[in-house]
Amino acid sequence: MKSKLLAWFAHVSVKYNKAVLIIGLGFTIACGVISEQLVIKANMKDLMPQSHPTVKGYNEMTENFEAASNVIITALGKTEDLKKFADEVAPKIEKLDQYVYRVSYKVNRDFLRKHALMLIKTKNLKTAVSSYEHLGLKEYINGINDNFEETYIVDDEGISSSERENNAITSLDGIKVWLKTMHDFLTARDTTEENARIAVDNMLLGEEYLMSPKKDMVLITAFPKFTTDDIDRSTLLINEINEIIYATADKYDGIEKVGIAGSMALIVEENKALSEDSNFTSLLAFILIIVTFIISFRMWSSPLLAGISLIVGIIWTTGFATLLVGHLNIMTSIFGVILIGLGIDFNIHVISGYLENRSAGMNNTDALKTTFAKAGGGILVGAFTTSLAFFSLMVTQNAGMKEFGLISGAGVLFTMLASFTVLPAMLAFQDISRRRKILKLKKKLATLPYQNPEFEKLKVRLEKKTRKQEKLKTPSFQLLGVLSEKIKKQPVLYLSLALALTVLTILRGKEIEFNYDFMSLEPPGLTSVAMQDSLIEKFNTSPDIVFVSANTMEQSRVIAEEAKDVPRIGLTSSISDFVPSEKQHKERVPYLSQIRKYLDENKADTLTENEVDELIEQLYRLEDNVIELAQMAFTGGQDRLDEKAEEIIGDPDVPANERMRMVEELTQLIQDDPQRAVKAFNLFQRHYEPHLRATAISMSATGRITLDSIPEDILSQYISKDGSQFLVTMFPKEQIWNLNFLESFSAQMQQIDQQITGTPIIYYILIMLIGKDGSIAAILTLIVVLLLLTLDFKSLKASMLTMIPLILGTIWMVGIMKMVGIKLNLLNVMGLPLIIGIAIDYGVHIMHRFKIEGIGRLKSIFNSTGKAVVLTSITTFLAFGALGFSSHRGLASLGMTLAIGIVTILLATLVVLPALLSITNKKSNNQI
Amino acid sequence: MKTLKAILLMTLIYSSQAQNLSLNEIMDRVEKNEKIPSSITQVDQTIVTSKGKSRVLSIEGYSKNSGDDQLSLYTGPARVKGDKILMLNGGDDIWFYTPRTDRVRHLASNARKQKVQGSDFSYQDLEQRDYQEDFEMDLLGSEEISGVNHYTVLAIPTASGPDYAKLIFWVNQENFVVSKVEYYEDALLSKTLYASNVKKIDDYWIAMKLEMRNNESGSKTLLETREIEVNVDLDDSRFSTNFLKRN
Repeated sequence: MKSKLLAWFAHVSVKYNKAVLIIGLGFTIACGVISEQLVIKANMKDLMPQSHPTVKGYNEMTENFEAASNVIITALGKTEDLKKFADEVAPKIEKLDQYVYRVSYKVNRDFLRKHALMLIKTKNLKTAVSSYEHLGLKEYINGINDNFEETYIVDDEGISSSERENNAITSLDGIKVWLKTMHDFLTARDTTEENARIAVDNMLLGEEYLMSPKKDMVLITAFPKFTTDDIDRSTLLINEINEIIYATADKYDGIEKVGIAGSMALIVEENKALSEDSNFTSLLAFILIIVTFIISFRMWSSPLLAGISLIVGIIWTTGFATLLVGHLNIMTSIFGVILIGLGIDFNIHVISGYLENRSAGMNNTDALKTTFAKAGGGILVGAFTTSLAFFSLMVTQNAGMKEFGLISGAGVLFTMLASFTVLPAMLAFQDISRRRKILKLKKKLATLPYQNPEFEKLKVRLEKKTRKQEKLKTPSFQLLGVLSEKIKKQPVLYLSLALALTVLTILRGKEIEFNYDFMSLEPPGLTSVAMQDSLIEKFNTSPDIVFVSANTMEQSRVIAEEAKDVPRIGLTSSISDFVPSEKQHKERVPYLSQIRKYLDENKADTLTENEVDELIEQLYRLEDNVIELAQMAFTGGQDRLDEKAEEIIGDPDVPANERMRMVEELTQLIQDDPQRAVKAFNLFQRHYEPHLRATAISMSATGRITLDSIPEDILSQYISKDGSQFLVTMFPKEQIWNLNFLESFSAQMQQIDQQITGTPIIYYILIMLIGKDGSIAAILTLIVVLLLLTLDFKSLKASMLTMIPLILGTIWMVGIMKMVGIKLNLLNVMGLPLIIGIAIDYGVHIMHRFKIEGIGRLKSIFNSTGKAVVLTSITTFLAFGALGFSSHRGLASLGMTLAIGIVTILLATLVVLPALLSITNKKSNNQI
Repeated sequence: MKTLKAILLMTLIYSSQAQNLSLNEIMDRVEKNEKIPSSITQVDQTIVTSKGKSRVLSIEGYSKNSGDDQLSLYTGPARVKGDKILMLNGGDDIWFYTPRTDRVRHLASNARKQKVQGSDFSYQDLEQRDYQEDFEMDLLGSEEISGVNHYTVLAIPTASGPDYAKLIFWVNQENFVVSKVEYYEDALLSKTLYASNVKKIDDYWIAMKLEMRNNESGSKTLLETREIEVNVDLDDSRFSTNFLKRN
């Protein structure tokens, strides 16, 4: 059946070569046109099974909530320039209203002015009351001290949670600005009312811009009208924003670096890199392979035909992938290179056999028939084994491997089909045309008298063409035959060497580590990755958010409250932060009323010279409080808070007399001239007191805050587009690429709510899936290969013998990976099942020939088939080697892994297989 | 041959003894190791944050009344030099002093749950336990750790016990040192303590290295005892708030 089918292919391709070529061309053009629709989806989410509840939840939420998808523009530099930059950039981005709903870069101070005190936790509000008892400078600082001590020093929660740490940073920021303003008035640097107002606003409302605690990074968040699935619009938006921010940044000397963080920017950058990588590595692989082919066969026309056949097979596959899948993901983006490496092998076998037979004097039909009869079975079984190995990846759960299995499995079959149809048709067409030309020349020559000047010319041309026809030679690899003979004589020695290498590589290979850091697999120098790192460093939170939707606001409050106590969450936000519950409202009203009473009844007493010492005492108390807070932060590793405190109390590692201490400097100035100090501070008080009083009165409104009173810019961050759902957003405290962190973070999220989704959760599930899928795929591939081989060879012994070098070579591959410092990762782990499917062909071809010719002709088997195996492995190695030049480090590591695997399995096939064949055939005295 | 027989006999006697011990007897032996009447220690405390940053603090520890009263004096680095923590009455009263402000702070009564100087040990983790009183215990079985058999004991804290949902102790069957403790808050494993480098000082088996791993935050704290003196005569005045400021 198999041989009949192959003979039919040979017959049709030769006899109807033109028809085959025309049909092939038409099919190729159709596939090429369809392929125009193929897009690359670089999102990690696209590697996940799309039916997974977490992915479905993620998709639903990014569709339903504006805030679930965002673009974070970041800038590093000097505070004042950063603010100007943000003020200039935000309106420009807002104008891109075909892409974005809105832009957020400032805290809504108008809302806070009306409700800030109602939004403070009851416990903290209780301690804050005393701050408003007297608004005179001395008394106000006393109130700040009381509040500070109660909240951070005495309270058992201290600065234990991220929320409290962030609040402490905000408080210190307000204190710093207050002390600076006192200094400004004392030194008459700036005694304006505006300066006093700024001090009050910073103390009561906090920083207006979304800035890092050190004020060296500003964030501007744009909310796109589409998700990252819309890659075209994502790319356009990111490009537009990049143009705006780079052009604006150039205007400010104080801006050191700008860029975009967040998943949309990352995906756009990844897409570009993957697309460039895919084109570059495919072209490089193609050129390398064709050049190798030309050098090996010392001719250019056949390698060129092999190249055309290969391209045709790849175009067919691309059309198939477009129709069946519609997109490529990170894993499938390399299918072109994989097919170049594998598909060329079929062509090598066909051309090698064809040339051999033509050199032996056969006509082209016989040459092809003989080629297909001798090598066709091996090609067919090899291709089916490889494609089934790929197809077996489809049983995995993750979409990355599943789609890779489908596309590459089909691709192997398509390239094989091209080798059995287009290639022989082209070879036949070329041969027939060449013979026709010779015949024509001969006929013409016969009609010409030899005295004719044309005669000599034609004679030379004819001789040249005939020589070319006779010169069809294939490369010779005599060394392989010699080696196999040596191994045949001393099989135990070679098997022992192989065994020793296996033991060594097992010992090393079992220590191989897994790199879970997906960012480290990205192409180097991605701006989005660099800005994300800066963002985490400056803000102590990762932009890789997780979120969950709640059906009611109360439900969102419960989730948010629980999340705020989770140590691995850096920041939690929900609409409940802006709308206190009825109970909270009732609890807070008495304190707000008390504050209001103080504000209504008490006037701020002016400072007298007699009170200067008391003021100094309060200032030192304030410094002591900041010192104690800094001590707690230092020992607890809360560096951002410690650094913020240092801005007030100075660096404790600097000698006391050289240390910048705001309080010390201020008190020194006061003591130098108390009279002037009193005058200056009274002016400061006259400026700040009315504003402080008015703001505090406004902030202490006791009315209920309802959803209706929340401004749109806040509301849209938390309420779904249809108004029925409430979003709770949680920011991880660290980079999510550390497995230990991710594992416990995911567990903590699951404890809060099973429905929580987002990049970290998806990534964790993906790691688990790929780990599981990788093992399943490798085992399944082995089983499929074993079954197929047993069916083909009709002998379990033969199939086992074929598989032993494969298994040993794979073990050697892992050991060598460890030795050269390659770690396993989410992409190269796919190399294990792949290499089994790819490299099994080597043993298959040899075993096929062995079954026909037997142990007695081992040398000639390795001379002939061994040569083809070496050539095909060289081309596959070159293709994977080319993949090693990918800028995407994950794909490059996959290329390196496969290239190592090709070498080790080839070595195992050339050394272990003849030794095994020799031993088993001596013992049994039977042919397999 | 005689020697071999003797070893076998000893092993049999030992293992039968080990098997026959009741839970109370096991925990009494643990307490016997832990309840050192008084001691002076030199300890290095290394705090490794979840981001991998580490901070080493040197501490001079004084303990009296079988660990009910403890004073920790920070001797380095310069940033915390002179800071003192005084725990009295088995952790019911905790005082903190730093020379940078020269203030003594009495920590809130429920501060036992707080981290000690930002470490992964809370004050209650360092309190001396009275196992029979502080826990309801159950002997779960035995398990091997690093080739040594350990009793596994489930301990549910009573009112006087620490503020955890449950703890699991691994007690070394050879020296009755607690080699490992798991601390659970609700159903989640919150922290794990590993004790190693066990040495016999006078009559006490003491773990010179304690490592507390925080499973929630990913941080860990190492307490390595460089030197220890036991049964030392310590003046009561050392364990008073006056001493904090005075020295």
